[in-house]
Amino acid sequence: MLNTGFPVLSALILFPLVAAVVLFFLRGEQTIRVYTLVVSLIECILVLPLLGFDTTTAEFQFVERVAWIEAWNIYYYLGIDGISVLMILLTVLLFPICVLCSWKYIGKRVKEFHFCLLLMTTACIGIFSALDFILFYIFWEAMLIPMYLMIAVWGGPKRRYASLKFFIYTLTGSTLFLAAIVAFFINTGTFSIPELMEHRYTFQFQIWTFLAMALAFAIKVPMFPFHTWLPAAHVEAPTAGSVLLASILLKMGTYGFLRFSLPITPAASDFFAPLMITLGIISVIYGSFVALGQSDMKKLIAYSSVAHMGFVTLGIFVFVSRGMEGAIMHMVNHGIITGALFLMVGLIYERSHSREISENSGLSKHVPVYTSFLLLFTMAAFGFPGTNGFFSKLLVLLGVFEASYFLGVLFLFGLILGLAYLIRLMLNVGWGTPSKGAGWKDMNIREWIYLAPLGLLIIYLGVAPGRAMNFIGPSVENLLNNFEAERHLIIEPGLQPGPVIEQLIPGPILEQLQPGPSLEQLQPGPNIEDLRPGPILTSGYDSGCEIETGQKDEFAGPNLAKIQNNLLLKSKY
Amino acid sequence: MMPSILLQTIIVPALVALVILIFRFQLGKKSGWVAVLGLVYTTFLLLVALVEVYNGAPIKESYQLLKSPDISVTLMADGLSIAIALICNLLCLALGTYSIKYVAHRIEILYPETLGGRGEISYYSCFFYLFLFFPVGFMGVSFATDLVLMYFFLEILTLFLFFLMAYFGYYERVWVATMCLIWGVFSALMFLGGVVIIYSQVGSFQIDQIHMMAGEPLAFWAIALVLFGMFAKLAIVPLHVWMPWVHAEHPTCIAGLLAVYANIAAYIIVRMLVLPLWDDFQWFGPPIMIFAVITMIYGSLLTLAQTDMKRIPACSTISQSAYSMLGIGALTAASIEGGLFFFLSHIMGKTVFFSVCGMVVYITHTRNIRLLGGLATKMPLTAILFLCGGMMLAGIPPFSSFAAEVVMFAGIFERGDTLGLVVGIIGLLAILLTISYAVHFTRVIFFGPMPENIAKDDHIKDPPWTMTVPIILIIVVSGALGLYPTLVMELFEPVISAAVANM
Amino acid sequence: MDIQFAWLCLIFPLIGVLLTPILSRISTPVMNYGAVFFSFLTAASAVMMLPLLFSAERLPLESTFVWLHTPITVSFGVLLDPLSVIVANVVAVISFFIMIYCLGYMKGDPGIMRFWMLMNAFIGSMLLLVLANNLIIIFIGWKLVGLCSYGLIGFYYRDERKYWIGGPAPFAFDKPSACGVKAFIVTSVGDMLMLGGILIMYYYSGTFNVLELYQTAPEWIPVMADTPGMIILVSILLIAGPMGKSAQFPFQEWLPEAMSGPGPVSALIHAATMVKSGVFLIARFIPIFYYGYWTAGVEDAMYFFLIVAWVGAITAFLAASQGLVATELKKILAYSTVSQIGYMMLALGVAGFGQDILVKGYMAGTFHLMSHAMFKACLFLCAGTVIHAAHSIYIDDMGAMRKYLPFTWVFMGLATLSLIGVPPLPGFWSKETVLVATLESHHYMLFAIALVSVVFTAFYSTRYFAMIFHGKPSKHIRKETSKPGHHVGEGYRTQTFACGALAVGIVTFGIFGLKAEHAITDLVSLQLVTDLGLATVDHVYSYPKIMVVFLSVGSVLIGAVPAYFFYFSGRWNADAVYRNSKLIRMVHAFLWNRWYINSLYTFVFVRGFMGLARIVADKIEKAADALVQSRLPNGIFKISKGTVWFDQRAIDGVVDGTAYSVVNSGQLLSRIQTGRIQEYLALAVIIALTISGIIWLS
Repeated sequence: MLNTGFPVLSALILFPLVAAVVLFFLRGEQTIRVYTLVVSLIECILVLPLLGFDTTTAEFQFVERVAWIEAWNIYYYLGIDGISVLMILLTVLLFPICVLCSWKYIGKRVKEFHFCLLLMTTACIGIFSALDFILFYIFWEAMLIPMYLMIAVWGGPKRRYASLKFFIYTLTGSTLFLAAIVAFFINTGTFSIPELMEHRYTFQFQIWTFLAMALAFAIKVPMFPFHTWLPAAHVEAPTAGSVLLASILLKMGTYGFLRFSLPITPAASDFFAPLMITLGIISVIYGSFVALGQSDMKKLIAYSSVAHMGFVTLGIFVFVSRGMEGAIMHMVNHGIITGALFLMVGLIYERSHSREISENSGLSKHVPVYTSFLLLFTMAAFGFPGTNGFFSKLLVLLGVFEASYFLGVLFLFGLILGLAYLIRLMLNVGWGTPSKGAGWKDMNIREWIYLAPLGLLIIYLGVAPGRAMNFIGPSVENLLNNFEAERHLIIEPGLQPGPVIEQLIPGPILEQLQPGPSLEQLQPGPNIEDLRPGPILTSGYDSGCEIETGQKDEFAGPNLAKIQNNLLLKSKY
Repeated sequence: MMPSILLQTIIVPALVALVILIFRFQLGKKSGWVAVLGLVYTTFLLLVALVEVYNGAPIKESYQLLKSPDISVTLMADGLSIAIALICNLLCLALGTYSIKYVAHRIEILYPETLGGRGEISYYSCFFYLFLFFPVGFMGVSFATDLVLMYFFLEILTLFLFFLMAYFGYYERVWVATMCLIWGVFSALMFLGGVVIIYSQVGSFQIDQIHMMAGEPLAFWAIALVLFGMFAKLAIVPLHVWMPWVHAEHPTCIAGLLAVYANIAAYIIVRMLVLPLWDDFQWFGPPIMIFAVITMIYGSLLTLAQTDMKRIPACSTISQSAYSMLGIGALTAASIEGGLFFFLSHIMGKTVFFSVCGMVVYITHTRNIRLLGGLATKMPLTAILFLCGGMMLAGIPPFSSFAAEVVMFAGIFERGDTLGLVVGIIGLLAILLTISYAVHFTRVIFFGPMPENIAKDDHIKDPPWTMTVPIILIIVVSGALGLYPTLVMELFEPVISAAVANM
Repeated sequence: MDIQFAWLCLIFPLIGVLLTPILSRISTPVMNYGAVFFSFLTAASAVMMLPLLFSAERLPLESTFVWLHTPITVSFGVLLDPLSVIVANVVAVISFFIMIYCLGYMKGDPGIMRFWMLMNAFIGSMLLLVLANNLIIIFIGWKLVGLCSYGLIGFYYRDERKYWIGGPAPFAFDKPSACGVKAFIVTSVGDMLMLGGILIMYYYSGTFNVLELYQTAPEWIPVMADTPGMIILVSILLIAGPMGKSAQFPFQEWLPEAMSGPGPVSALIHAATMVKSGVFLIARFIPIFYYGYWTAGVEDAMYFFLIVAWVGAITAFLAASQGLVATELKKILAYSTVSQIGYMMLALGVAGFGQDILVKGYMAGTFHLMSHAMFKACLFLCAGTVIHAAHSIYIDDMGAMRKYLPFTWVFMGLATLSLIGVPPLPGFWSKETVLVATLESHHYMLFAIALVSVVFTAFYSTRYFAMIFHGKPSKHIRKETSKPGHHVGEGYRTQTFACGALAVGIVTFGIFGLKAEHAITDLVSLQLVTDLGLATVDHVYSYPKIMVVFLSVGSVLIGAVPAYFFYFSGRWNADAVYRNSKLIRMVHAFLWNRWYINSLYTFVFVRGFMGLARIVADKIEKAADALVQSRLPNGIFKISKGTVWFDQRAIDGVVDGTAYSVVNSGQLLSRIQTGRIQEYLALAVIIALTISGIIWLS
């Protein structure tokens, strides 16, 4: 519809950048704030054309491709598909909210702060729309600096420690990522992501590149052993920083998995899936436990992010369309919910100057509207039906159950733990032993303005998730189809795909599932076990497609009709 | 025939709640009556629907939320759900009326500083707009054809229960409310786990699709998970520990609905597990029966030892909800129908029992039964109502619980095996404990000599009519169903007997 | 038309119940007379059914409505057969007289409205029980009479001192409200077991309808017999209900305490009608088991009769022996009732022992039921008057009251004679039939027990009668009579009238005793043999009939004469006997304490269950509560604290520790902290290139 020649993505990326430059010529804190707000709102208007996203195709849309450094085959190459469009929308939506929530909170160096904000916006949108590796990497690194500054300059008492930690961690990851990029370039001679997806690589190469990229992403997510930078950064960061950190930055890790690991190194992803799933489930349970033990609200929410992002990781690495859709939706939903929760903490911090739960408890009497909002957001975080958190968690849960029942039960356990810490937060703050708070003002108009859209969005996405799901449907399907085709194909390290493999590459997957001779053909020979990469955690994990593995005879045999039916039902989505 | 009759029963209370919330200061103390009015309307609707269902086919309503992807909400009222919905709604109506005076009293005690001001009004209306979500939840659970929808309404119930408790409960109310919430969500999550397993097998959330997974080895796990969750809700020993707390510390005016909240799990089990997965469920029958019998005895003994006015019905709920489970566990058409009928009878009886306890607490301001006695002289009507409540629980004719017991135990013996025989006889003897505590507590509270402070207190008399009339109404309904059980049984018949006969 | 009277019998009391509160608004007398009027209408309707007995070939009549048809079939209906017509008449007519008595007895009681409602409700439910054609409906009536009984025993729910029973002083008292609870719970034990029996029977037979059960017995009894022990189980379960309601061993303990209700209530419920319902029901079950044993040849079916007979005999003996020493007038009568019902049970039990005794035993049970209802009602009504007059419930507080209560003396005397079994009063005839049936069954042990019980009966009857009306006035009665304007005298005229009417009935019935016996025999054989086609053989007397008469009268004399010398003439001194013999003292204590059965039950069941309940509540529940509500959450919090520690120390610590050690040792990275990020970036690029080189090389 609106796929006209207008370069929407470039506009979105460049406008904040230009605005940031203009910012330097402005004076007066209030002027700067209003100015940034206006800029952010204009950005919101600019993003509207993206709503014309074509939901029927998995192709990259709004593509812009301009040669940049031709010698190195580097292009200014932008484009979005279903996975990234939602993230961009989320980013743009959060931008004005960040401005509004910093209105009173940021008292010093206002200009610089807003400059950082604008830079962040540019970088984030760039990350989600870049289709060139180098471009992506530039945005990826560019995002670090304003974030680092936000923590280091406007942060809390231990800001130096926190910012450094944040920086070291993420930079370590970025370094490895860069290494992977270079390796790819050396192997293929191109930085274009779509082209890289087309290529096939040796198994060993995939393993190494996957590891290099995955570490970067795992740190960003953050996954279990690499998560400690997150609470530190969250606690010290100003509210806007926390919001951006939780809502956008963490998503970059999982986005990376979806954008790079799965399509480019499918065999390695398949190989490492048990590991990733293990780490994911550990993140969920471990994160929940640690969150339960926190007394600092911000830390609690930070650790809850660890757990929630564990859900997302799980959803991605079970390689089932439900799970993946759920994971993507949960990225968005978690962005909204956790962002909102950090805003709530910021709000109460402005009143009590403490983030301890014990010093902010029993508030329902004094600040009922605040409590209601907190309730809504925690309910959504927990996954109360009717809120957005429910739907995405349900989808992930479905996916996980489809993959393995053992995992599913662990997942349920994680959900119950999630209930525990969120209830602890909500009930203590809302209805606990009353602390101070008698004289506190309830929410003012500004706070209403930036919380209400989030609340509405939570309910909208909870009640009618379908519209948002439409965006991601084809992309996920495409991603999975390609992935399924390539995940087992590397038979020996170094062997290029030959005619035998061509034969095995399935077309549209449903056709392959039709009973009859083609199914026989698909049944793996006796040595499929040898061909598959060695299982690391097979006890807890089964790869998604049951027919191909041939392990579950009872499913493939007599109940074939039913499975077909199931698949048909699923594909109808 | 009215349009969207089922949807209306769900939406109207919610809308009335909204109206009360928005116009609370204009309505003032009238908000209670507004809520009651809304419930009268929905009761009327349900009666119309009942006639419709009774005369012919089930009512089915489908509402498309989204065209693409196709997301629609389907509500269905067949004999089973309409009977349950109607009784639940009736109880909501009765307890809504009952609450009008009770809540005012509760606010006087809990929030004395707000009296006379806007605070009082907002607390007062707060009760009613929260209360109205009970009918929403119950209707939703009854009519939902979709497991996710059912889950949604289950959670709605849990959530609003929490608020009512936290704002209007008794001692340690926030702690108990939290506990209730955790247990409620815990059981709902188990339910969700089962739902997801079912989905992974049949690829649909529709209840009428569940039968597709019959015979799958995973059906076992789905049933096990859902049962586990529902056992927690039904307070089957050893998952019962929340019940005495939660039911005792709730504001009495809604305590009756708690029994519904707990016991509606029986309906869910029948609707979602027993009927579609008949063969897979067989394995679970005997363990359920054994657990149910243990719970019946345990709960009754627990009740017998209570000295707290409100803990009596609370503990009795533990044993009573096990009866319906016993019926369901026996897995014959008669026992399942009897079990569900007992569920209906029990919630009516428990509402009466609880509410009368509430009346006594309301009038005498004490919960310790050791300080009471001889109240029948001053509160004759209350005494009779209490006794009626006890009899309704114990299954004394002419109350419907008797008919339910007969049908249920006939079904249990119909199993024809030793287990059925032994469990049936033990179950019948367990009823004795119910009878024992019913008459025991009647005696302790209402009979015997009066303590001096009660004899002197002129305020002790029968409560106002807004509290007694609804209770009498429930007793009359229970009596009527007891005298003519065919009405309910004919409603259940096409859903259960016919289905079971085909198994 | 006749069947409609049966419906009317059910409807009138119901109307009475519903109208009573309305009438009470008009005035109390209107309500009183209204309530009695409805019981009159009920009695009239019942009497209208009597002609059916004379055209008995038209019986049984049945009229039904469907009550429940899915998933089990229960039809609500009435059944008129000789048994039900007889018992219904007994119930309706006697209750009418008792209601008349109540007009006087209950005058001015504050709870009078409740009283009338419960009484009418009782009459209605009792008739429902008797007339119902269906075991479930019978059970409903059964439960309802229990409920009314509960309400009426605990009628004086305020537990004023004067309504306590038990004692006297050093011994424990029972409060009316507690007695009601006891009665209700003890009878319920039987009820619940019986319900189980009925439902198990339903499983095999597929019907609750009494006639259908008889008719389909050939089909389902053999099936039931296929399961070993099933018939015995069902027998025990089915018998348990009647044993509870009729206060038979081992459930006999509630009836003595049930005497704490008003006098007429004891007369109506706990002597004349409700306690007979057990007998009635056993009679209802007899054809089934008789068929099972004698026609279908199921050995186990005999247990039904054995149990019934033995329970009856044991109870007759046990209760009569307890009556020997009791001092509360109504309790003596209660023991007597239990004992007499034991006779009925005995008769019904032996009915199944031989094909020749069926009709005899069945008839004896029914006959004794009728006559006992009559004289025991009269006795209780008189006892009510006496207690009212004497202001004491103990017979040793009475004495020489004949001159104050001349009418009552006559009436009570007649009834007592009937109880003892003096010819030609009905008690004699009916008891004789029971004894004959027992003897002819050749179970001599049972016969011996029955005979000893006759001796006991004669003794205690003479004893209480003498202690009330003869002998020397006690201290208490002298005190009462010495008060100016004392109330020691006949009660209201209605009371005397009712007693008189019953006494007249006793005499009339007694005169026509033999005729009645024959009539009932005919009816019974018509019902059992002709209608139900039970296989019987004609009875040949193995003993001369006159022998039983001699034995019976002889036993009466053995019992009555010592009692006469002890209490009537005062020639022998009972106190001296008691003091002088240790054995007598021990026996007395044993009997006074009711064979210690009551204490045992109290200990085992009341204490036991309350103790168990306390254990459950205080120990198990507390422990479970603590475990789930506090230990578990605390445990989780502890784990979480542990994880937090681990997170900070282990995971974070390793990273930080490495960083710090690097920083401290080489100060390599210290410059970065000054903020020169670009250098760091450059470093990163270098590292990245190195690694990518490695990857490429690999």
